[in-house]
Amino acid sequence: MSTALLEVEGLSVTFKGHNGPRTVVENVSFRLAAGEAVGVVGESGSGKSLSMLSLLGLLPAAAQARAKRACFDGRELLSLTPPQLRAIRGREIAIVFQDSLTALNPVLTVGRQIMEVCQRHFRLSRTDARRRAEELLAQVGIPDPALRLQQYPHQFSGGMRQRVTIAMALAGEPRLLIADEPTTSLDVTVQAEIVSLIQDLQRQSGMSVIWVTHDLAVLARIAERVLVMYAGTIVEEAPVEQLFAAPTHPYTRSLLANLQP
Amino acid sequence: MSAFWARLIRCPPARRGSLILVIVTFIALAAPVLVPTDPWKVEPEARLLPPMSRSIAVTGAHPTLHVLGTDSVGRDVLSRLMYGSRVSLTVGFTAMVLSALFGSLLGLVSGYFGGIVEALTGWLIDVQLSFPFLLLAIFLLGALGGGTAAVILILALATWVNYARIVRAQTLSIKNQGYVEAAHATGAGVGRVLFVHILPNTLAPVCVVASFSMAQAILTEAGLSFLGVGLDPSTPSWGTMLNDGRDYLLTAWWISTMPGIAIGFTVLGVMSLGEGLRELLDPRGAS
Repeated sequence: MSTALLEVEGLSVTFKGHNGPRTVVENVSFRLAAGEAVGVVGESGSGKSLSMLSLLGLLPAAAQARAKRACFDGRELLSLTPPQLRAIRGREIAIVFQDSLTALNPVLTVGRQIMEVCQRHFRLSRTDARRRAEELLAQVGIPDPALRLQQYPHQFSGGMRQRVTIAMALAGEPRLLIADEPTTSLDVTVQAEIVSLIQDLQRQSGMSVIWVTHDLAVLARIAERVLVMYAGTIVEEAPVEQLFAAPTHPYTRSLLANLQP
Repeated sequence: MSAFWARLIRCPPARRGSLILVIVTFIALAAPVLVPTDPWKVEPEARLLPPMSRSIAVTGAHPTLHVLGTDSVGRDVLSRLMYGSRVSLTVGFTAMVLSALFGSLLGLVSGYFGGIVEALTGWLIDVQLSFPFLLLAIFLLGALGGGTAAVILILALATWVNYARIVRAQTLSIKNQGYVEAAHATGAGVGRVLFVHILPNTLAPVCVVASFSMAQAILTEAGLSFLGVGLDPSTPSWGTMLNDGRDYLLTAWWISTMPGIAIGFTVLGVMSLGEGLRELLDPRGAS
């Protein structure tokens, strides 16, 4: 915990509703060091994903985020202009989404979608971008990348598609990767592959990773620290061993109790 | 790009459609060379000749063979048909492209941004739909003074609503798809999201509407010419020919049957190509 890459203090997300504003994330604070892997667990609707999306200004139009501090590498994320924010999205902070089927555009080839990110952030020429996309596909363990670049998302299996979205996220060489339940829609063996893939990539590149999940078993393997979210707030924060050994919050205890042996 | 052409040739409806359109376009372009006689030349003595007859009216000259007969003032139907393809194709194609561009753009923008933009577009669509087309056409053509460009403009004005509504509806559902959110998350700007991620996903229905509306444009041009507000009656176009022959349907069937066949053939080509393109644009359709 030397210098913090991301420092969030008092983050809240509010939806404008018919019955007045409704706060779904409240007073969330955490720090993330460079190269650190942090897990965020919590049940559906506990505000895990929303807090992460709010940092990149990707909330739905009806929602608004406020924070005392949301500092990424010296920049206040919530007060950036849209162009400044776009320069950070994908380049410094990248997201891998839960559903790889919908996260890829069905009418564009996989190569085109990866190249787009390279071209957007590094101003590469088409040939360079293509070469880079090929490297990225190889890096995420897709065999025969040159051929695969020209294929469409529907020609990939679920696990392969998730690898593609990871390649897209890596294309910007981000310093922080937010993995928003990247394994939820995959079967167990593929889940394990994807988890170790992201772990390897993290080790190679030294990026920080925030794992959003509701699978404590996964977190035990990969995270150094865990934040437990419940009903829009962080109810517990602890190093992963400590969390498993001595959970303090009732929700954490019930999570652990329900963990498959 | 060459891969696209290769797929186009391999897709049966697209191949059929392109072949038909290539033939029609070739005839249109080469009309001055191909025509057997001057399509404007009036020969009262040779009026209403059935197909495959020879006119021997002009003394001393060689008798001319009228493969598809002559019309009510003795003009050669085949020649007029060939020249007519120029007008009909130009009008149909340009009107289709103009309205597709304008309508899709408006639909895309209104579907994506919502709010005031959508309200304005919706209002524009309502105005357009509630205004009787013929009244508008007669009024505007009267004001603009007719001519090909004015007719094209009117036809584009009549059909852009179809594109706007379809593209808007598609955009509304597509903008909430994961890949649009993912595109935002990789730092893509609004233009990139609109034109790279959303628009291509709306193209399949646009293709179908475009093929229908090009066919419709060719027919509407015929209707306008009939009302006397479209093209000059002496201009050979399939629409004017169709209307010329109406009075002689029982006695000289060929005058309006021939342009009818030409319209049918061309429309078939456009529709096949539209169908083929729709298949080609869906990556799941062509492995």
